[in-house]
Amino acid sequence: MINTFTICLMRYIYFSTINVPGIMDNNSGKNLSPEYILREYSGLIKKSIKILAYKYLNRADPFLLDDIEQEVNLRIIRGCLNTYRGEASLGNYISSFVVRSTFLNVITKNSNTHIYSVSDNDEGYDDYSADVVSPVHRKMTMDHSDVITDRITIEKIISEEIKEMSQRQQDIYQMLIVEGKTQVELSEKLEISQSTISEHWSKITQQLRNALLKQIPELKITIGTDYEKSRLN
Amino acid sequence: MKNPALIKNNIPENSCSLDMDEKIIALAAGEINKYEERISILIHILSCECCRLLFEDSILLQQIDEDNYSIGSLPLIQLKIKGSRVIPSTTSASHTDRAPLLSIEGDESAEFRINHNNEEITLRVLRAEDGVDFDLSANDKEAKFYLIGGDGFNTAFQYNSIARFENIKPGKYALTINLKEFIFIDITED
Repeated sequence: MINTFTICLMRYIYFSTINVPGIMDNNSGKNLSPEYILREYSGLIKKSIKILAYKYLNRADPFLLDDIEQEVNLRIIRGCLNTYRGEASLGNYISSFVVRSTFLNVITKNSNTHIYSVSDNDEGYDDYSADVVSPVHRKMTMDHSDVITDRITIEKIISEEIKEMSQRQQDIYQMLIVEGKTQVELSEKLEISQSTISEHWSKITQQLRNALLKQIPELKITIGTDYEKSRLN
Repeated sequence: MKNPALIKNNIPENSCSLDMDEKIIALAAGEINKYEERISILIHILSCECCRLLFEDSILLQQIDEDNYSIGSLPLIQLKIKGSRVIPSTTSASHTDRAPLLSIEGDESAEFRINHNNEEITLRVLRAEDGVDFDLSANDKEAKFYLIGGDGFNTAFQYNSIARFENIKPGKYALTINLKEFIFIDITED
């Protein structure tokens, strides 16, 4: 015989509700409810996972990619987009932030996952940990102090160092940073893929960092604070 | 020759203490209008490893064509509430192809069969006081159903082979049991 208590308990076990209010996208004026995001961006989510898997995983286990997709969708329906501020377009935010952060979280927690990085050198793949994430870079990332470095000096070093780079790298820097072109414009003008642009950018960053550290050793502890203090608007 | 490199625990945490993520993404997409701001973000990228990697990945992800953001072939069920009746649309192509209507009983309920990621789901829509009820059944008796709407999401398990969502008001919903494939349901009121 089922009494009232049992019915209430069954309802608790078999039916539950979680409220996640939608937020407004200031750019489009649309209500970013989880249902809307899933309806409009499910293709973007699937493709973003595939692209990241190509970069970070040698042979991606389809079950792992399924897990990542489910985790991304779970985060969306739990309201992770409430942190979206509208500074980037929504599609770019979903792919570059929501999908990417979930992807990295899942694969770094999976003890059987091997992660790779594609490079355009002859070897085909880089050791992402040993070279790219060098101790110097870690120190720069971790150590922000109150020392202020002259921003004009930093810009001057950057512009001088750019002149020493290959023409292709100079073109990428010019269009992306100086002219603020979109990736579509960049890709069409230079006739290269986003994958190649990303790889060039990795080298540009490393060369610029080395130049900055060489000329201003104390810079490693100043850039973050300097950015905050010189923040525009 | 491809040389594998295990880098577990070497990817910097995907968060920046200065909340720079959206600015980095916008810079990669060419969405920052002022040069001064672009160069400021670049200077930050040079100091912050997680933002540098985010920037590179954001460029990589730009290759996805905006026109292909959504998936066109997802099942869509369109329902109209008119008085005490529930009227399913009979014109939607995706409705008839992917979620065939099985029966309409006295205009107060409609039943659909949906192939959902190799799982056959039966959805019975019944007119309720404030909207409609969904009665769902699947072969997998452990299946957890998610109904995602504008205000959040509900979950339900099967009891006596039926999982029920009650008093669903007019609006747009996504139904799933695996959080991977979705059945979209639009309910309007006449």
